[in-house]
Amino acid sequence: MTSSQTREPSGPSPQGDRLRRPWLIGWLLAAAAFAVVLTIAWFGGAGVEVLGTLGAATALAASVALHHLVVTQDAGEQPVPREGTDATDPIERVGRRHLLAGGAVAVVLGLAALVGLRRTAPPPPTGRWARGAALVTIGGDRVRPEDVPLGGVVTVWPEGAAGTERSAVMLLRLRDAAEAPTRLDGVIDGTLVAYSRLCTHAGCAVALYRDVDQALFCPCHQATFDARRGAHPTAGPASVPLPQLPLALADDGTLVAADDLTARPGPVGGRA
Amino acid sequence: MPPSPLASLAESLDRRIGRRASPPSVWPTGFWPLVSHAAVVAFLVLTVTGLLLALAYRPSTAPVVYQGSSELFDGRTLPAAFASIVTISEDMPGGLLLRRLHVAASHLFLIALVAHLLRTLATGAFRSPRLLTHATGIGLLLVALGFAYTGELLPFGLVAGSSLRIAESVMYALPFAGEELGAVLFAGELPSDRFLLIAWVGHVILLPLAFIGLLVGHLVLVHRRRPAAVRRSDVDVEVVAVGRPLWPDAVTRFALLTTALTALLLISAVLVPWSDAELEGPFLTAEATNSVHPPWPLFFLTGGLRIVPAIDLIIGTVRITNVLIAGVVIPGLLVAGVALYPLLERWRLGDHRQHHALDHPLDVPLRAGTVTGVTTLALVLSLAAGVDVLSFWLGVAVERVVATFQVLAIALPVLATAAAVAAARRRARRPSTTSVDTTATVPTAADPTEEAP
Repeated sequence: MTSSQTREPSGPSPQGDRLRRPWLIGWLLAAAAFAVVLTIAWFGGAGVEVLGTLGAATALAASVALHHLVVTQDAGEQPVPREGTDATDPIERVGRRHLLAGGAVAVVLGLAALVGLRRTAPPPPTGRWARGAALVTIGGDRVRPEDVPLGGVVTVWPEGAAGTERSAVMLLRLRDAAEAPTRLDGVIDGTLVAYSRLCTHAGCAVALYRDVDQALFCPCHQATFDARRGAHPTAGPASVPLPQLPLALADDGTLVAADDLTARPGPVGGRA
Repeated sequence: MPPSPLASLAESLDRRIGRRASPPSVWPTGFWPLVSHAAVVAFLVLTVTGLLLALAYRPSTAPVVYQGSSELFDGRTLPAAFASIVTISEDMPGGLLLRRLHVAASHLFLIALVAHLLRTLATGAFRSPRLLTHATGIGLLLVALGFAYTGELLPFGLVAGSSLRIAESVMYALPFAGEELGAVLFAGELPSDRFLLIAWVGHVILLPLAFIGLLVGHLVLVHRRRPAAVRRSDVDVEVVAVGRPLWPDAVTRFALLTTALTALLLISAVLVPWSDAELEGPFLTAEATNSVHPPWPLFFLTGGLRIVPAIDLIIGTVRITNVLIAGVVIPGLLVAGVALYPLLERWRLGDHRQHHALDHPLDVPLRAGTVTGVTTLALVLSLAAGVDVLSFWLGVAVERVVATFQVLAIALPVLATAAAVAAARRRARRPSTTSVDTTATVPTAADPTEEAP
């Protein structure tokens, strides 16, 4: 910036350096020729490398032509007095009274929007789990306890709602028996547990299971939950455990929900 | 016969800013104005490529069977939006080039806007009489962030599900009516078309209209105030504006910048597979994967979500969580900081004069400290978006990387601010090197008509 402080204003282009007309026309013709080839190649279905290179060639030829125009056609820098230009800043004209009035209008509008939203908005969605709902995979097949191998994870939904985001639940086969605060009457064989797949932090899918410490891990923001102990958060930004789905066995040996999820699935939100 | 509207528009533009403007309009010269012009060039490229892409895109999550020349996806059932992206890339003539060019231009667009903002803040170009100009500039930046978020969502790739849920959780985290707002905007469960349609209408209609409106306002204000200028030895830029006329200087330079940057973007589109659909895959219900990241201008948001500790504080009916702090409070403070800093400086320094000369970044300690602090915090938060990647590269547990960033996010902005303030104070004690010789004569205006061929 120091160098520009002592910079001389550049004058108009030298008289002897009149428009280099042949060069300019030559490069413009080159650009036009590349553009024609580009158009033919475009509709001929050429690949991205050919089209990109031809496009770049067109743009570069046009740049050289324009460069001739810039260096020969300058009118040069000009000084213009600042006085007389429109120079009052509208923000400076905003007085305390305007601010108060604007603030009052904003508060009234904000309150009206708040009341309107709370009156008209649909209730936030919950999962579709209920006592007795059968657990099915994305393909609609019912699940048996032996379908989940040691350290395995199977994503399941309530029958009739497969693929709905809110109700996604993961079945886990732990290595060691689950402990409190897990709801133990909803655990099958002591090691088969089910938790909501949606992170209580920001609602991403808690898609990764780490067998080493039997932890559930959310790839979005690294929230970590202890799968043996009620999916309570052990590290990262989540502050609330994943809702548990209590499990039971139907008469035919397939898995069903013993109850709804222990809490609403998804991010906890801003309401106590 | 009355003149055509186009002719009278050209006539009035010529009278206001063109060859017959009196006093002549002046357009800034040098490197930094090129940076802001580059943002306009990128916006032009984005508009042209975006219009062509919009013709082939389908804003729908409905499952369709893709059939085409992509071997990977041929015969597979995909969300209609993702299928249309694969069709554009693989089956439409020049479609892949258009997509890559659009994404490459979006990077240039945002880099240029952020660089222009930092330069404006560091040199004090926001001071009276350019307070409103700065406010419109902040509006332009926010619209650009909206472009970045909605643009990432439209392909409905694997990341879209997480992006949607995270945006919804930020809405949910707002006190009093957050859940209602989220329920209205997102229509409950994925896969739902509602938010994809909102993003689509926003990305191709509302945000472009807002951007063009704000840009016109921004440029009209820049023109009326005449550009602020770097101090120079021959002219007192506080009383005299120096620049080039619109025609031919500014127009030919802008045209040259347009073709040169377009050539660069095209070359990058050949060399870099910007946003190729095959690399990511379609949206899958309840799936996510490692290394999920939003577009880089939003890294500071996701970085905050990753390193702000787990909080669960209940005050009355309000629940304060990590998402409220990292997704609403910190970004709000950063944006408010850069938007309202001009007013803070006026109030703290009691400086209500008009300024047309640009300062050295270290001329005002308050400004040097604030700009450095805000920039450093935004940078650390942005880097924190990569804790998972850093953990993988360094072979260190992600919890320890997060803990390190928690320390850095507080320590680095404080240290950098202190260093900037100290440097500014040291500079103030040195004898001035920027004194202006106001007795120098103003060079006479070169008459552009004499130079025309």
